[in-house]
Amino acid sequence: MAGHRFREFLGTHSWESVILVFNVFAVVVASLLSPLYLDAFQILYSLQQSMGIASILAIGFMMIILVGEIDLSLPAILAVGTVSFARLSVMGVPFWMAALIVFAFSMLAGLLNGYLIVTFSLPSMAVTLGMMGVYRAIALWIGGYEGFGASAFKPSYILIGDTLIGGVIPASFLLLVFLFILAYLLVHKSVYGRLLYATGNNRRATHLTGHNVKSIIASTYGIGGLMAGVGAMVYIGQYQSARADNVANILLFVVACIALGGFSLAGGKGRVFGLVLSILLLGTIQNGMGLANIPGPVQTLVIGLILIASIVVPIGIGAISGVVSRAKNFAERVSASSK
Amino acid sequence: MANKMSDLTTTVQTPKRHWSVVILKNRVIGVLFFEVLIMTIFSIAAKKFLTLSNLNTIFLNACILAILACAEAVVIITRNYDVSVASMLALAAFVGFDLIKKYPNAGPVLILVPIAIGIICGLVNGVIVAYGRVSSVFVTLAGLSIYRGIVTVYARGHQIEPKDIAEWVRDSVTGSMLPGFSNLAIIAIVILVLVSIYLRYTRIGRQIYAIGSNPDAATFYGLKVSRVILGAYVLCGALTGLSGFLFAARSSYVVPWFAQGLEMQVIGAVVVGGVSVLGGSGNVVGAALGAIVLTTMDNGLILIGTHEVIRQLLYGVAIVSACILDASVLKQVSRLLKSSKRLGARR
Repeated sequence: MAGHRFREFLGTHSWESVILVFNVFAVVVASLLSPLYLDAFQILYSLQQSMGIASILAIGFMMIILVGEIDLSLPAILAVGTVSFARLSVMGVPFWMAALIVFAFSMLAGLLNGYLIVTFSLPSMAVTLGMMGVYRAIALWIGGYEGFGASAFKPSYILIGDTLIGGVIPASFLLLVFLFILAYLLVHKSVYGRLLYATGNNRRATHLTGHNVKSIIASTYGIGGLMAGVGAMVYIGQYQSARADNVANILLFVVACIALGGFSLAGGKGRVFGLVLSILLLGTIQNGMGLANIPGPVQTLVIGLILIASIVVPIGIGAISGVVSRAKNFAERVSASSK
Repeated sequence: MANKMSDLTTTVQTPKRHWSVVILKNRVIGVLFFEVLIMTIFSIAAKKFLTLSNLNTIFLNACILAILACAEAVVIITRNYDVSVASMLALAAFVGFDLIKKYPNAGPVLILVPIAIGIICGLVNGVIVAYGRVSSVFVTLAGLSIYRGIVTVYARGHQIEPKDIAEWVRDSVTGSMLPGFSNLAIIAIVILVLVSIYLRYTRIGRQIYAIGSNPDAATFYGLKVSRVILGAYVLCGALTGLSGFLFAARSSYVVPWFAQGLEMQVIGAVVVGGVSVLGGSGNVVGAALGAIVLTTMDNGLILIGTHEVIRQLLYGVAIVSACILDASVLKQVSRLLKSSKRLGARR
């Protein structure tokens, strides 16, 4: 019985299983590459450092991808968030108020993208490319060319991104776990989540069943923007600086997480669990490469190759299994006709 | 009966005088009109703007962007994207100029190197997008980082300096064969004319449009969709490689992070030039005009002395509003088509 269930699980979660195997493989290789790797604190800390902000953005990105859209402007919204936090800190606004303001504005920024896309039925790729320019300009307007250094932030601002609870667990790691649980409940255990999949799989059918597809899509953009705001809060704690060009190159990483997590740009595919596993895998690979002193550009190259592999390998498997099943059919037909 | 038939056909046709149809048919003129408008504004605001040398600068600056926009437009017309153009350009330029530095006596044959590299990169992108049937954004975003990574690894911290570049290279680009015209401008115009003739009058060119406007219908019609998309990517790669050569020869410095972020400007130029990102409509002359518009905006805003913030903001706003205009025109036209069909059916 248990074996049957396990096989069933493997059948429905085949992609996640593959990523899990790769995860184990990556951990083994990393621990062979460097004796420093196998240390719980090292693993936790470097995962948080390298993947924390990317994963928060990836949660928002996931929602948008699920309905079959894309938002390239999320990193730019994050940059608006970091410089706004810094500006508000300099102005002496208490942290909770600043956080509320930034979250509200980043959510509004996301909703604006969504609003433009659904009301004019625009292609999301090109629009968010344009909005990226707009948000970067706003970030530059708030932050100026120099941006802000560590002195700009009051201690309360950097608390969440900088604290180690009990000297071991980064506070932002707990926040991340909380966000993932929330995302899991929202995507897999709520009506809203089912509507996201429905919209991604068949927009027309969802519309015909009486759901407001436009507001569903716009709401995912709102969540994406909110996540960018949360990412900004973690960013200022982690790096204690804020500039208009913050996280300019994070998009590749986020997209790699999403593609490796089993999501499709067409929408309606992928699970939160897969996203967690792919983030762990990419984090482990990066951590291992960092410990093995592999230079940054090569690391980017490797991430790009992983992204390509995550796209090409399933296609290859599909093609091979197609050929195999066709051959089987052919063999059966031949044997049937010979009888 | 015959009377009825002719009546039916006239009602099925799109009304010719509706504003959306007029805009759709004269998109390039619209872009041109916008260009004239901003030129008028800038020449009133800045005295230096309307001088011959400044206009020449704008034109030369726009040339490379125009070739790239033309390359990108071919891919976008097939309803795909290529966001890796800037990395492809850097790879082609760096490797090409490294070979020029190492074998200065090989001569103009070396122009083929960047083009070949562009073709290879385009082939890689195209094969995965066309035959894998996966999102082109994912694939070319991976390409963006991979090609950039290869340049950085290949360069090993070195860079190409003006002294490394042979004399014939610079002459071939900045010199002028025809008096009054820079070679760069001549190359750009020749490429534009060739590509637009190719798209307009050849069978493959028409297939590119057909696939972009309805991939499923094109497949049912029997077109080799994958092959044509692959061809579009290869053409894009070849033109990108060539512009890598031109860009590097013009700027004389090549570093591994050469032209970083240029893909945004390229896609912006294509969108502003009236090429629909939904595929199947627009042309490369429009894309080139879009490049000229963006360059004019850049130049004019700097001359007026506006802050960088305003420039970036206007860039973004230009792209978004071009998208909105395009989408609302398309919506209106399809609504007109539908209503006229319904009218025809009722009779």
